[in-house]
Amino acid sequence: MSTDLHNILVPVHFSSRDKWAIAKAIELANTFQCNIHLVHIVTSSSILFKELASNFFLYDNTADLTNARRQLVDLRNQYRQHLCGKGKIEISILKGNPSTQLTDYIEQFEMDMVVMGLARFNLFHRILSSVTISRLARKTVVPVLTIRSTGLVSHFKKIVLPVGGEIPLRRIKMATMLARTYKSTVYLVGLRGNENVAEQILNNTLDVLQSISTIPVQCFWLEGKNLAKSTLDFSKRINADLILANPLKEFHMPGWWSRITRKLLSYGSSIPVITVDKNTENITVSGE
Amino acid sequence: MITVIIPALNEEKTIAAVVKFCFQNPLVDEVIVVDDNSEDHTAAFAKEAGATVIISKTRGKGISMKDGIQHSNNELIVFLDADIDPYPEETITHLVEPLLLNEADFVKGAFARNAGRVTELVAKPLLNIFFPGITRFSQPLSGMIAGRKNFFSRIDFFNDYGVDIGILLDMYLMQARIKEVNIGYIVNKSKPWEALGKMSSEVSKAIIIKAQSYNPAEVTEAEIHSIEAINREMNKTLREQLSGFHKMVIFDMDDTLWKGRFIDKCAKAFGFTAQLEDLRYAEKDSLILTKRIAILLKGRSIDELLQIAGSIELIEDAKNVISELKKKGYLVGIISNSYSLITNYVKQNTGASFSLANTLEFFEGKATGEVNIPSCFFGSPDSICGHAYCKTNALQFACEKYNVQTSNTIVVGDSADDRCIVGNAGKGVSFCTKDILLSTIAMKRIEEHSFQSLLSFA
Repeated sequence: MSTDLHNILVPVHFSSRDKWAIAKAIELANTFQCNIHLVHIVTSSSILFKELASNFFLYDNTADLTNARRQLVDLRNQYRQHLCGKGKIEISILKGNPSTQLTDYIEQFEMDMVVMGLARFNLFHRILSSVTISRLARKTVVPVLTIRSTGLVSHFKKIVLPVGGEIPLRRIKMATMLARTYKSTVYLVGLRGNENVAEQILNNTLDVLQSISTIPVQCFWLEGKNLAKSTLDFSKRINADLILANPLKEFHMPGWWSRITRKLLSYGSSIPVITVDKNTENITVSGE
Repeated sequence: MITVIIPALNEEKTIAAVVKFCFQNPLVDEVIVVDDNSEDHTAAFAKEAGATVIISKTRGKGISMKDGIQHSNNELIVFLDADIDPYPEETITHLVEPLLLNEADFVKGAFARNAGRVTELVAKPLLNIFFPGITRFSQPLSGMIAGRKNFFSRIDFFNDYGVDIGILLDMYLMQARIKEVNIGYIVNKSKPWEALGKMSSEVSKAIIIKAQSYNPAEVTEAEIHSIEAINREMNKTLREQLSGFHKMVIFDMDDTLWKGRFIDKCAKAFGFTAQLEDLRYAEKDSLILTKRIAILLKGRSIDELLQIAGSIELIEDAKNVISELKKKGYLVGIISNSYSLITNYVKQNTGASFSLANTLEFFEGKATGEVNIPSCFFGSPDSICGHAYCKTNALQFACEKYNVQTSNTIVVGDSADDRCIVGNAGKGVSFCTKDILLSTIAMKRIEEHSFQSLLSFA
């Protein structure tokens, strides 16, 4: 994971939720002096449909692409004036499967973060984007920041870092990077339960945080059975600005309906959530 | 008649030719080679060529020059460098002519070459501020000099890079008659870039010390600001010259490149193991611990410390892996809480490009018990980790100096002290560590005494 932000990707669908994501990306770009990449993806299914349609109704899909490009240019012109540092806004149109295209783009152009706006009440979109968030975080090892409302907060002063079954190294690094920049306090939270194991993990997480940084940290035990829900309740209580989660099941909201619809913590929260994949990159070389 | 003194360290390739060159001049009846404990055949080759060989008791150019002067039998003395071959034919004649004609008491040799970076960026601006009277010298750092023994014997010699400018300033302050002569064209080896920092530091130290002793009131705040500006320019030049590197590997030294810890070996050899353990147990502040451990080395000579360094085994494939990493375009460095004398030794033996470590202070070749901690180890408002004293600050310094992004660094460490630097590197590697948290923080764990697997990771 990068120790700084240089490039932020914002997938654009030309809907109202794009504005929340772009506004947050602009804030980050102004803080970290980085570039924003606005990327619109024309999906394979819509291409297929339009190609079929063109056989029967003389449908010309180049008009859609031209229209998308025009809208992207408008977006760039609209937001360029909000940038006040060295950063630039780049625009791109990709064709194909959104998840694959985004993954390729992230790897090819070395993106450091993805910022996505989430719909409030659209179930279909929620399921689709939950899959996208999880897949992106896992496949690209790039953190995904999700925004559900505009909000007026332009900093992350209170960062909540929930700790589950292992030391969340990548989230710790993300938290230290943001906390250093925004001079934030990190709230380490764990579920009260199997206290010996949980306490050890929380203590070790605290040790790691203090070994690699000097940011202020507070630890809390939370009541409850679901880490996502308890974290969310705690975050609302302390008026947190950011939650750092991972895409594993422990960060899915409780209840059968949430399970079926794969409701991530990001969807239950009006507080921005960064989803970072767990430490999949650790390699051990034993005596060979 | 004339005595030629040649301080030499590991110059077996050129020393015989330089000695023979001296004897070609009919005025020279004595050539003294002061061998600085070379590890090659420098002393034997010099003797074979007809020189009187003195083995210097302690390392350092200044001390060698002083030893040479004490053994010389003539009033007129010429100093030549041992690594220049060939010298222009009339070098010695040009150097001693003003002395023979009684036009000068001290002669500085200048030769045709591109202006040295330290001369132009450090020495000349500082001389302009503190000693405007000697800015006329085109090469104030030149080591080819001649003078009268009675003047030389009144001088306190600096060591290493500060010695030549120190002699010039002493001669100036003694109001000796000084002349600069051009001795022709010399193919002079450029200093390796990693030596420039040390050279700048020692040259500026020599000038400022002389200025303070000459007239302490002269060193004003405005002048300190000018020095800072010079420093900035020096950094800028270095960064421009070194901007070709894009990725870097940093190794810890103790228990990583080496199978063992230097200070533990010293403790065993000099019998302070119990004191060291007590210190480690009682002193939790790493900065104070570093200072207190250095006191245990007081009175130990450079040779004694280097001998201990020589007895510690390197990881077998360290040299090969570093060479392979360099071929892959990595800049390879050592960042250690040990001493620069030792890290430089390891750097030479492994082929690493630079090292950052604490500087043990020596006086006349013996440790004073003081240790200077380079400013790069201390935190700044831009510090990544925020620790007041930490190797990560040194990593950040190296990244800025060599124009490498922190995300493009690999750091290999072994102990709890390395948690921060390993955690904040682009890719952290734990090496045969017993510290569980370090292995958790590290992106890769190496559990065998070999760096080979780094090559597939880099």
